[in-house]
Amino acid sequence: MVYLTRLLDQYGPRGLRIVALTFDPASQIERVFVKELRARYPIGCDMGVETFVQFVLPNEVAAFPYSYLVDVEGKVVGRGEKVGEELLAKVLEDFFDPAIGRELHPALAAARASYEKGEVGKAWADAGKAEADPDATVVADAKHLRSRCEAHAAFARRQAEKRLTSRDVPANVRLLDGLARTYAGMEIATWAAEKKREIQADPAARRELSAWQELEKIIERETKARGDRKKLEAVRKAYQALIKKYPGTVASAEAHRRS
Amino acid sequence: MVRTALLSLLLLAGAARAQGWRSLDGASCPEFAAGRWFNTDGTAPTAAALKGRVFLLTFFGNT
Repeated sequence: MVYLTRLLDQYGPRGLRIVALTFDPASQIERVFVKELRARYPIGCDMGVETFVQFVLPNEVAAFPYSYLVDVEGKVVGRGEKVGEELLAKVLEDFFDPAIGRELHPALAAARASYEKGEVGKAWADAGKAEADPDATVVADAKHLRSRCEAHAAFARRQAEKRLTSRDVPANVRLLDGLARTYAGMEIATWAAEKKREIQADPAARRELSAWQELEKIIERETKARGDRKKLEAVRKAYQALIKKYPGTVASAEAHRRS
Repeated sequence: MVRTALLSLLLLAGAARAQGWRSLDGASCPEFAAGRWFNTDGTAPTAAALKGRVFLLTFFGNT
């Protein structure tokens, strides 16, 4: 899976992480993937296929390699079977939407780098400063880059408005925090901050956030307790306590599903 | 043996259907675990810990 390392080199700076799971024995993973191929992403040995069967639906079959793309909210937004490097690169290119559409004057190199790293607000601000440059080419390129940043922000806002209809309050807050960071200084960042204040002012949303914070701690305990029956029983009781404490919340429904 | 049978079933059946990329509606990523991890800083990656990051989870196997 050398191409995964190449994809990591290309998209890692834009925020991509890669995790691989294989059914091969640990000795083979170490010899081939770690030592010979020098893979730089985490590789897990799932010889018992316990994890894999959680991802494949009961009536579904799979052709390897089998990949999932998970967004910043922890949602699975795509999957591929027998997908090679070229198609995966196209999927990631579309996902990160980095296209600027033309070459830019070298004076805009830093702004371009910020844009490609996903720091759209910083790119927009830097391009704004470049609009005062005496060179008309720099000004034209700066305006072009700013228009790309604004289009990017408009797309992100449309997506966010759809997502915010969800009752998953913590995911909504994370989404808004992400927008505020990515588009710092732009109008969408102000909008995101205002939306977050509205959420935090709502007592039901605050209760949901508290429930999720507790739920995430229990999930972490569950992950560490794998294989330990006694600890898993304690985790199950913790889920039940959360269900009683926060009835009617999305977090309690998730705790019910997990317990 | 059960594992080999399961994998064979998945692989053989998988070879007969259309492959490629499909966009999904964004269901929560199930938690994942492994018996042993390589290339980590000592902490096993989890779906919970990766929240806030875009990540690609790939399953592969030669067996």
